[in-house]
Amino acid sequence: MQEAQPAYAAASATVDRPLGRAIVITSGKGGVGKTTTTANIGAALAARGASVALIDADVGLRNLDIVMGLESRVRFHLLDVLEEKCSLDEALVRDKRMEKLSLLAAAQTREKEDVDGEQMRALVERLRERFDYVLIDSPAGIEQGFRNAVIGAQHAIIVCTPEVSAVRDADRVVGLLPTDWRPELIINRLRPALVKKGKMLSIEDVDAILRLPLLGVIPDAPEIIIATNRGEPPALDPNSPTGSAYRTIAAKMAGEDVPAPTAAPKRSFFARLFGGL
Amino acid sequence: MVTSGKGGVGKTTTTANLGAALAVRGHRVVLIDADIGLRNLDLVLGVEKRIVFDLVEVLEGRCQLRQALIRDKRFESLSILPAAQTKEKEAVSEEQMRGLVDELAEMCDYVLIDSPAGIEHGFRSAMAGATEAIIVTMPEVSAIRDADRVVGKLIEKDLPIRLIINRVRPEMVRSGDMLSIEDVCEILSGELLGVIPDDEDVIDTTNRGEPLVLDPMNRLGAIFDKIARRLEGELIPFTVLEPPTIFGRFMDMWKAKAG
Amino acid sequence: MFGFLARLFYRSSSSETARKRLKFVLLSDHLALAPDVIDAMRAELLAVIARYCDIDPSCAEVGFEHREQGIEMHATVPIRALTGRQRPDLKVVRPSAQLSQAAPVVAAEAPASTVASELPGIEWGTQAPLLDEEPSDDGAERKSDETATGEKSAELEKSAVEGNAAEPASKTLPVTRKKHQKSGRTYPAAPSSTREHVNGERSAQG
Repeated sequence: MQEAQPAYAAASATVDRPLGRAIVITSGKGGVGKTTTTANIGAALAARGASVALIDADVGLRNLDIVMGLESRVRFHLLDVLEEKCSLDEALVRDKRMEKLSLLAAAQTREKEDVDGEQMRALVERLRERFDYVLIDSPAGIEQGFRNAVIGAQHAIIVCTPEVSAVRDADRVVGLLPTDWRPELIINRLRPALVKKGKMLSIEDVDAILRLPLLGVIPDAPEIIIATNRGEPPALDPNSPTGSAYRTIAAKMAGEDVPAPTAAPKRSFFARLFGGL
Repeated sequence: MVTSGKGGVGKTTTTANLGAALAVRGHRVVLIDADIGLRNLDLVLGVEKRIVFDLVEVLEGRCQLRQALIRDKRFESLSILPAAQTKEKEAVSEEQMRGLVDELAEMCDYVLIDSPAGIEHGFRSAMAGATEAIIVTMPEVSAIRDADRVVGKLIEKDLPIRLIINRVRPEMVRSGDMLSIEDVCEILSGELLGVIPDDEDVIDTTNRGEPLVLDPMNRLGAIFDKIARRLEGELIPFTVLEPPTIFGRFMDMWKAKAG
Repeated sequence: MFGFLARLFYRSSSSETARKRLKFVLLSDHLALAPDVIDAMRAELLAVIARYCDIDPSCAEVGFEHREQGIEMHATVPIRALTGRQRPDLKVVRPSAQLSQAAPVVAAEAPASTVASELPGIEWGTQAPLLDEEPSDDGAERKSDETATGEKSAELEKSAVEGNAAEPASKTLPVTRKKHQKSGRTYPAAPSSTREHVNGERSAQG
């Protein structure tokens, strides 16, 4: 907190900057990329110099530690902190690549019902005092775990894939969030080639149904699977197309004026072949 | 029950297609959508406009079970019991679910319960009615970890477990960028029921609300037919993923590069 | 360009990484032990062995494997030589009959002098509550160990720590061999129980 705030932070924080922003990343449907999104936005924000805390709220099915590649460093978890078995500092796992990125892992052997909503709210509040961003990775569904993830946040990012079931669930989740929120949308796993063939909903289709401000579009790429295998968020890889999409999102969150996201322009066969070489 | 731990691995698609494949083979099948509040089985099967009553209304006694069942127009012997969309999962207790499944089991040959993601209340009530479990997973670290958690829960209840590995990309397995079937089976130690490759047709058919099994030319339809036959107890060998060729490898690399 | 060629000619194997990470994570989940607790357990186990012989901790491997019956822990600890702090009272603690049935281990008993020079890598498995298990009375040296304290299982630790003069001078390989299979979900927290026990013995003696 003593460090001078970089200029970019001005947009996302007031002058005295009392508290950071607590943002829940949710989707309704599982497997659309909430955890990957949380990890990558967090990494991209931290790479810009912001201090970021990631909370894995998926008690019992934690995965943020795996995606971040920090599973071997997790010693204490969320419930340990809530139940005061350890201090917040002991439980926060510092990222191995970036000083300013920390993870608070979920408990794996406990149930979501073990989390007390009010304690969760207080915890997020404490983290906001110390970090510019607190990103909360919500579990799938709309049960207790989802409610616990939302409780301390003031803003939501909805992750959705261009599939009917994901869009429907996203719509349902928006309806469950506080009415004064204006959740932002990330469309994940877009395959421009399929959209072109008419086999996948387009950005416009999803936009027309959900009517949420579009924060970003992430292309579908096998590199995400590889990155999860390795535990390295692609947001830190300057050559990765998904990484660049995540960095754009982080820039937008930090208040930079970035052009509206569109599907990646489809290059011709030869352009792609030689672009690769 | 069809379950997975992690969401988005293809539980609902698998339930719908396996149900359709069993129906095609002449069995009477009922699919229960246990994902109350986030129902999607109706969308995958394209019956969303025909829903009159739902699971919760049946349990609350507001309608007859037969009134709530939606008969699929394409497969005579396939019916769907949709989930309530505006209720909470807590609206269904484990006892209620057990009673309902018992009642349905008397009417038909297979009751497939599409479990919600996670291991919360919705999962537990779906599990309460089941006598065996199919775990759908993907060759990804997080999906397998979640599946492992579910395996633990199912073992506690003594439910037999079988595995369907979904979204396998043979070219990525070959290039060493995806866990292989053997890896997944070794880690989860369950009986393998089927392997489903990653295919864009799945998105397409879900958009349309048509099960893959409808199309006799579709390779995924054939795979679900095999899974259905394995479920009947038939012994069917697994197709070996096609061996890599130089050209194939080059294409994989290129595809990986081009994204 | 290079990346493309590298991908074409060398197979990067992120699935290998994924496999290793998964095994590690699931183990940690099943044992309900935090990864650093496993590390601490490893360090303590090695420290115990190091009291008896000269080992190279950097070459030691403590691993877990999923077996049908549950999780099995095994350790491979290359021994360079017995330490200069050899005591006359060192002895072998054998696994109890029940434990050896569960997982028979080839016993490697030999006089310290011969073993010391030629131990490329002793497979060394241990049950979590290292010294709380009562050893079986199946060896001559075991019988002679029955001392007034009545707690035979503590003898190894005590004699190592205190150098109990009443102990008979049986110079055998000071390697504890216990192989045990146990359901992962009830795996006890190893380090704490071991440490408590050692401390308890020390305070009793001191």
